[in-house]
This record gives sequence, C-alpha cells and structure tokens, in this order.
Amino acid sequence: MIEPTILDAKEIEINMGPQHPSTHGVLRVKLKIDGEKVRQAECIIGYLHRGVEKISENRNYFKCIPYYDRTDYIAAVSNGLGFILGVEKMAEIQVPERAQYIRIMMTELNRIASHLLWLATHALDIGAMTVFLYCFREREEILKLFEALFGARLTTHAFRIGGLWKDLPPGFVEAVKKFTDEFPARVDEYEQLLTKNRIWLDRTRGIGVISAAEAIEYGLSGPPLRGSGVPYDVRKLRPYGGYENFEFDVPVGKNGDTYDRYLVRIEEMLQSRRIVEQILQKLPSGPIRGKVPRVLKPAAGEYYSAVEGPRGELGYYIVSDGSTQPFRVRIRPPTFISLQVLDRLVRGHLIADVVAIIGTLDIVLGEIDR
Amino acid sequence: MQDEKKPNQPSNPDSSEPPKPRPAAKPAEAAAKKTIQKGPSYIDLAEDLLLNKLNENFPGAVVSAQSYLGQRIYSVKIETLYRLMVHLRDAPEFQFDYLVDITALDYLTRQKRFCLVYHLYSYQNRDLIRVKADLGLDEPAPSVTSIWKTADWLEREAFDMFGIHFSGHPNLKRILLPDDWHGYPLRKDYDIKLQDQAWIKRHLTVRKVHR
Repeated sequence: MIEPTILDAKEIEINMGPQHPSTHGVLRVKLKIDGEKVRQAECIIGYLHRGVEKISENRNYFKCIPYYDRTDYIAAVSNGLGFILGVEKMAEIQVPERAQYIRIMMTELNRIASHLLWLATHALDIGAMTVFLYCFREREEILKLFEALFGARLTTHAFRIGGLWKDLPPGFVEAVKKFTDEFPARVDEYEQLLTKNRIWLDRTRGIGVISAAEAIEYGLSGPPLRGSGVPYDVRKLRPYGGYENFEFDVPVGKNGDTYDRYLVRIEEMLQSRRIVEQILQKLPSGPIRGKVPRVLKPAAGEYYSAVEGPRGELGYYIVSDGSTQPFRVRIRPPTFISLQVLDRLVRGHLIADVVAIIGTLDIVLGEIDR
Repeated sequence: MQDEKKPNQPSNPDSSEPPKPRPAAKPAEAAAKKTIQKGPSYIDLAEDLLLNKLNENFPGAVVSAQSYLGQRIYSVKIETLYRLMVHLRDAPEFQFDYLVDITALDYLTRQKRFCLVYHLYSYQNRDLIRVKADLGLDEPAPSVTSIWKTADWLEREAFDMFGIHFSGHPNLKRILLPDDWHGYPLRKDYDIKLQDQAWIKRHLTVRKVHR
C-alpha cells in the first residue's frame, strides 16, 4: 500500500455520490482526501431502503418471493431461490428433478449475466469502453432466454415454491445450447481486450489488496473472498437444490487484488457454462411442480437457507410460527457485508482507484439497502 | 396466487372477515393442518462435542442445545455471550472464524423480549452453527466487533431496526434509516403502516402523509 504523504494543504472531505455513475446505484461515500490520496472513506447507505424484511412479515409465503427477487435486481432470477429452498425444507415439499435442473440452469445463466454486467460496468469505470458493448451483446442473449421462460427480462419472478411456474417453451433448449457453444469464444474476446492489456494491469494489479485471513475476518464472500485464495463456495460446501449432481471447479485467486477478482469472475462464468452444458445433457422429463398446499403453513421452526449468489453467500433465515405468514425473514445480503471493507481497501489509494475498488466489490445497492 | 385473502380486500385487521372466502378456504386449511402434524421438530442434542466442551468451560452458560432440520442451535445466557464467542473463535478444535450473520427476533409477549441470533461458520471444520441469546428490552448486548470485524454493520442494523444497544460498539448509529428517525421498524409493535410522520413532513415537504 502507498503511504499517504503529508501535503501542505489541509485534509479535505468530498462526497462521492449518492448520484455518481461509478457507485452503481445510490451509494454515498464520504472521502477524506489529502491531495489525491484517500485517507478515509465512510459509506452512507439506505437511500433505497424499502423495508423488505418488514413487508415479508405481513405477506404470506408465496407473496414474499417477488420482493426478494427485486432486492438484487441484477440477479433477479436466482435471488428468491434461497428463500424458496428454505420454505420447501420447512414445509417438507418435494420438488421434481426436472424443476431442480431447470432452476440450476437458470441460476447459472443468471450468474453469467450478472458477471457480464459487472465486467461491462467495471471496465467502463476504468475506461475500457469496448468491453461494455461486447458484454452487453452476450447478456442480451441471456435476457432473451429469461423473457421466453419468465416473461420478463429484468424483473422476473422466476421460481415458485415446489418447482416452476411453467415448463420450458419449445426451442428453449436449442437456444441455450447455441449460447453455451458460442460463449467460450466470446470470453476469449474479453480476455484479449483486458487480461494482458497494460492499462488494465496498471489499474487493477495491486489495487485493493486483502489477505485471506483479513477477508475472512471482514466476512467477505463470493468472488472477493475467493480472489484472496479461500475456496469458499456454498454450492460446494453445503450443496443445495441439486448442485451435488454436477461437476464444477471453484476458481481462486492468489494476491487478493482487483485483478485476481477479475480473473476469478471470468473463470466462474466458464464454470457456470460447464454446469449448464451438463444440465442440457441430462435434463430429465417429468412434472415441473411438486404438490404444494394452497394455504402454506410451515410448522413452527427456523431454518437458515443459503445459496451462492453471483455476489456471494445470500442467506435467508426464516422463522415460522406456524401461521401463513413468516414470523421473521432475515436476508443476509452478501454485498451489505462486503461493502464494509471499502474503507480498509481504499486507504492510501488515489481517488480514481476508489472507482475501481467499488467496482471490484460488485455491489448492488438494492440488495444492500433492502 | 395461492392466497387466502382476496387481493382487493382492505388490509384492516380489525374488520371482521367477509363471509365469502371462508367456505373455499376451509378444506385447504384442513389439508395444511395435516402437514403441521407431520412437520419437522426440534430435537435436543445429546452427544455433541461442542456442547460438551462448552458445558465444561462455561458451566451453566448454555441454556439449551437443539437441532432443527439438521441445523444446530445453542441458546446461551447473554452474560456469558462475549466470553463464549471469544472461545468459539479461538479454541483450536472449533475455530469459528467466520461470522455469517447477526440478527434479532422480537417476541413481544415474552418477558425477555428480544432474541439475538448469530450464525457462525468454521472453515476448518466446515461447520455452521447458530447461537442465540435472549435479551430484555433495555438490556445492552455485548458487541462482538472486537472478535469479528463483520459485526460492525450487522450490529448497527440490529440497533437501527430493533433498538438493541451493543455496549462496546465503536460507532453505534443508524445505518439504513436516517439518523434522526424515531422508532424501530422491525419491532413487532411497530405497525407496517406506521412511519415517522414528523420526519417525512420535515424532509420530504409532504403536507399530508397518506396513511
């Protein structure tokens, strides 16, 4: 880390955000700067607070799910999955295998779409405009698939308790196959533009370094944690929803800097593609929805159901009192917890690097504020 | 969708249920009741390494140890919570070095109203546990920020939403709601439509707040 030098000027405080394109939403960062060097950063959040946890205490189990789908709007498809899996476990609902497979397929496609959006905006923040256009080209293909299956591109309500809303439309499998066949060549294109690009290396290597021990202490999860070399992936460690049937690797970085987190996410996209390919090969036929009571009253109890979202461990702690509405639903948002580390990461760096570090944490304010 | 209420029905809990949806809902409710009897239940932990070690080191601290759907829950006394947490992180056989989450539950009718819920994960043992501690209304909870840095914002959120004070927290102030907001929204006696009307009038220049 660069030691801040004492300049003749006074330390001044500037606001970054809440309306700043590089903060990816409405995040306000109060920066204490000495010249160009950042001394301290304080995050002020809550501009998008909707009280999702309070709302869910006043809705029944079915009606809660769209609110969770909206928390992290970039990964809307996979977001409700954690809650749905938890409720299915508590109410002992069996999910047909076909529904499980389709869920995983859509979740992994969503992970690719989310990482593509991250790569596009992260590169744009740092100044690589072309990558943005390339990434959106592929993301568009995935959003078209979402539209065909869920009826919406961004604000989907993808999964239901017990399975799915409806089966795959005709031609869907072929469309996914076409995408997975083409995708590795596309990733090569991004890598040609960035991986050995000297400007990209200068802007990302050694920026926002965090060691494995410290990353654990700060509670990071997802790519920021794996970028520091900790192979923590909920899909592997506590498999859920059928992930134990598929082969994939958990990529890890070495140095824990912005560049390693970039490499981890690139590799994760390819691993997600690998899972989707396996699903296409052995997609079983059969029903897509299990038997679900019309009025759902899980027995009084509690369950912590965590999934590996694109941004890290997304947990739902569901407490039931035996009625139709949850007694309490706690969402453990991955980026709310990883954003805490921002102050630690930006100290001593330049203001321009703050943009890179906010980008590398891949925050979504809708999820942080809930 | 699967909904026991008509969507256009006003959300007024005081008004008596209109007679119409009742007969349709009844058979479904009866079916749901059957599933409750079959549902999972809490099982008391008997032979558990962690429980034995905790009882050895902190006699009387663990109030109950149960498992529900395979997830282990340890209810402990709030007085020993901090020392117990330090032990859980540092003891070489456990090493719960990753604090997954802190949250609270509000049981309005209980004498000790709040229940703090901690989820801990151990990378070494690949083990996830839940630690719970009951807490009275004006009783401060020990802050675990000195044990796990993750706790900083999580405790601030519990303070913001439930009004639980964490003694020893370096910067305990509201995080999601504005600093001058009154009331704690996730408490059970805070109605969903209740808002800090004065704050809204003051800051959003709304003349009349619609309720």
